[in-house]
Amino acid sequence: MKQVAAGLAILALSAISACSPYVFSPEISGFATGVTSLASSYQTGRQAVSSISEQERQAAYAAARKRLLLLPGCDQRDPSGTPPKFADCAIVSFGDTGAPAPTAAEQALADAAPAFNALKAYADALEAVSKAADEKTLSTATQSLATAAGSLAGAVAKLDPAAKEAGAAIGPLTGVLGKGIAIYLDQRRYEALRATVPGVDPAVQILGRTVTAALLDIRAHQLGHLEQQMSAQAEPLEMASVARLTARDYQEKLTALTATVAAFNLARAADPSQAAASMVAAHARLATALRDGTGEDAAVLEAIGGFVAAAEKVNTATHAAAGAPAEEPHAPQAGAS
Amino acid sequence: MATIDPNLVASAGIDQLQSAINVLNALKHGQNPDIQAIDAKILALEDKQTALRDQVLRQIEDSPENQTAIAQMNSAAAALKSAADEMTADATALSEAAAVVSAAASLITALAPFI
Repeated sequence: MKQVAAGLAILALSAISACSPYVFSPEISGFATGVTSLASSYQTGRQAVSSISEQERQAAYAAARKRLLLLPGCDQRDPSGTPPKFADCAIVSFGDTGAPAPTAAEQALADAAPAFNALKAYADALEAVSKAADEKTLSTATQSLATAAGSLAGAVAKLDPAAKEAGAAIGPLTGVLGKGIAIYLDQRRYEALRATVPGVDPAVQILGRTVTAALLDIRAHQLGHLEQQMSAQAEPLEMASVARLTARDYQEKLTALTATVAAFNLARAADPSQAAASMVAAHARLATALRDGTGEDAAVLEAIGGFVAAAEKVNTATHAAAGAPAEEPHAPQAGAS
Repeated sequence: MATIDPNLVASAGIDQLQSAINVLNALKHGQNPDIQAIDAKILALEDKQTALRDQVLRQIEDSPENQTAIAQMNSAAAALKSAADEMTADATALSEAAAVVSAAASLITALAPFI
């Protein structure tokens, strides 16, 4: 009886394993990591563009020796009103009554936030599904259930020795039950992904354009700023009068220019349009694999790998041009949105 | 009908501006060039390149397709989040069931001597 039960359990396990759908967990984690990198590039780049605007404003003030004023909000320490808030504290041209309005570029970049937020929320939700009740949590739960069922069978066998044979079969059968629950959840994961990812693919393509436009705009502003620096630093060295510079002055100017040239080369090496195109292509591959039920597919993993690498390159370049270290992109926790 | 990606149109325009910048840069290698004047012209063209990028971003953001795509993505994210929450709740229920069975086993074991 015991051997028969164990044999049945092994047979059932084999049959169930064959039915387990592939739920693309590593691919989805990779996609979320790539999207996190692009969102980080956007955040840092947006701050960098604001910083460039501020520097240009200050340069304009300095060039014109403009008369300035601190806004009255600079005398306010605590928020007031309903809802409580601070009045602006900023340096403005004499006679101005409010903080400088954002430039057209700053405003356009700020308005790109909903697109990046939507992509990030989607990628996080995909990962939440692929990791919901993950293998470890589920295995702990089913193990507890198996142990509890075993204890129950043992207690019953003490009361009725005739039930001992049946109790011996419970161990392997609870194993089958645990595996069955894991597969059931994988099936649900798969269905949730299949019902959503292919349908959303056209939207990902559209938002790919927004991501491209925003990151190219950031790149253009960062490169433009570096070009202005390079141009100003190179000018004395390009003049015919360069020989009149002292050796020390010449060396200092050359060192400063070399550093800016290096920063410029690093910043322009990354191509945001390629990163966004990789994102769209990777998602399209994932959508096709889910729609066609192809299961694990090397082409999907390869596409995701290409996307992660391209996004990381853009992230590093954006941070370098902004003079900030790139953050390590980390996959969001399961259940996060 | 095939849609045109404004990013590609802008890139073509930026390439044309770059050709003009390249011509100006070549002038720097001539006899006694006015470097400051050439640099000023180059910077002006580079500003136009950046302005083109600003303009394209604004155009794409304001398009109805972009707004619809954002709404679709947010809706998909909400549906996926809800599915993930349900699955997590099921795993929790499984743990709770194990606790109940375990308690029943303990009770039977404790009562066994009296039965």
